[in-house]
Amino acid sequence: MEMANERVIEKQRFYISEFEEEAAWLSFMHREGFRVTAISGMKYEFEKCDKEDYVYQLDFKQKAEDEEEYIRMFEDYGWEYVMEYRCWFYFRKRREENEDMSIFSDNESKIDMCRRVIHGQFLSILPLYLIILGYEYLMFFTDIFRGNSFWSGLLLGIAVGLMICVIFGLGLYIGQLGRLNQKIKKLQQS
Amino acid sequence: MDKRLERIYIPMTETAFYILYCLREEMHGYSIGQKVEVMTEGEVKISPGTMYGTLSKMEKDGLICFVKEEEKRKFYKMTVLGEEILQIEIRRIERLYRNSKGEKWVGNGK
Repeated sequence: MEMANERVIEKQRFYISEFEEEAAWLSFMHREGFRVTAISGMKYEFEKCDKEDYVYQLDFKQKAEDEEEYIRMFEDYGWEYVMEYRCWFYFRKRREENEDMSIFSDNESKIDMCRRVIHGQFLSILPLYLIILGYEYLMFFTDIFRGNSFWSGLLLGIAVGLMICVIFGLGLYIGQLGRLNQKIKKLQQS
Repeated sequence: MDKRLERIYIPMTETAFYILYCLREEMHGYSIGQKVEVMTEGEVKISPGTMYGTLSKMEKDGLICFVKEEEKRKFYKMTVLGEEILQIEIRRIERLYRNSKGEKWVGNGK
């Protein structure tokens, strides 16, 4: 007999500066009786569970070689490792009275994490942008793809589309950097 | 002494100070946290993200070094450079303490 856990998919959008909002939302879902099991883009997969007050926390970490030791330390502290998604590590812990429920105990380490996010995100999209820029250059400043065929028309269409994506993406990206910098400033002042 | 390191680590946060101080002996992250709680009667608590971040940074800067691994726990120890920085910081705190008490601070010619 199969006892499949009931699964629910919820769509939700969080930008890179909204890791606290994301954690709060996951806590809220857990209190409602749904614990997260997987993330893919905007899709969050949940399974039904007891309605319990769990605190969720996200940490950004890129270095992969000591992942097991890293998770082990969180487990020593009583945090349950949930998953890793695009360098974000998800942890949860049942809320206890009189216990510190943050994975960061001082502002300096929170600021350090924001800086890691800024550097990490920047470096991760840089190659893609360079490839696109190279393509745009060949398209508009050389004759390589010129012609009257259907294919050169298609390539031109793609180039224009990508250009719009780059402009839109850069805008979004710069906006997020600004948000993260604001967060850092706030932490530095508090 | 590297000026860059002095700028980063002096003055030190309370968290960093206790972590470095504890690593005169070989220890792993969680055990450092436990020891600091005992030393400060529960007033200084170091969360895992902070502990991991501080240890990684200090290892990268050469203040501490990785010694061994047991049951997926990484043990660290303070290096000579770490000791040097710790002593500069202790001297600074001592001066601060003496001056706050209105005592005369004698710099020992250093």
